[in-house]
Amino acid sequence: MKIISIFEERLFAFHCEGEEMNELARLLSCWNDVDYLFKFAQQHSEDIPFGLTLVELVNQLLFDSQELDEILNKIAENTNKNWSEFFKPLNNLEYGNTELSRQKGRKNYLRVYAIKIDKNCFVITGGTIKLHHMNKDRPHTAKEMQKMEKCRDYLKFMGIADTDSFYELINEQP
Amino acid sequence: MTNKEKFLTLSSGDDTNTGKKIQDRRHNREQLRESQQIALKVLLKLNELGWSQKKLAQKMQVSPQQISKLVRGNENLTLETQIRLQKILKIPILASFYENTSKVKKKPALS
Repeated sequence: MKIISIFEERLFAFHCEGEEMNELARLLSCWNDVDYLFKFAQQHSEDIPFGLTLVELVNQLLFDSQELDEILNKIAENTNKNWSEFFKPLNNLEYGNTELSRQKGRKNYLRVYAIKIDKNCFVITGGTIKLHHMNKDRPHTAKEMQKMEKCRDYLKFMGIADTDSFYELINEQP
Repeated sequence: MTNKEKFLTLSSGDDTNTGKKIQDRRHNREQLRESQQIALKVLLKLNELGWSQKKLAQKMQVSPQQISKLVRGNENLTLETQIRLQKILKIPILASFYENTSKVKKKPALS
């Protein structure tokens, strides 16, 4: 498991073993791939929101993906912008400073999951297309929750609890 | 050297590709949208016909990899490819699809 810098010292992503790309690159690649989205919509046809056809869902996801590009670009290009404008606590009831807080960035049905290192430093652990209410209810979303926990455990195991120790880990990577 | 200074030296250029791809998509948005809509039309038609992507590759006399790229919706398709897709799958891609259809509806010959 590796931690890759995406946008300078502010946004990182895990690169899981066996994966061709880091988690952000992988998500963006899937969400801009019509074949992937079409198959996803077919496989999860029972979860397609009421009133939407399969084609409308694919078009909506393509639009969401396009909007996500704009959001990522806007924050990355402007150093006055903070990644906490995009990422919010996964647990809606979470207040104050939680160590290695679980976070989500969302654009309609798209979710990007991350762990907060400090107020403007996040590590992406994965993401998903969420068409239903609870993450634990569907294998593909439950898997992303498990990945997030695995990444969080890894950071904890490496002694990461604050920004300084996170940067030390980055420096120690081969 | 502080931790942060060390980090910046080490992490710069780790993944510039993701940011570059975002920029590329933003700059080519219109073309990308068209490619995505064609890909979606192709996938729907294949689904309707019960054809695999491999079968379409055979019909078009191209490699399955080329069809795989095409249905991802991020290829800059040549005019030739668009015409062949339109003919083989009978799906509207170019204006000629409608123009040719209207030509078929010929007026009855005068007796």
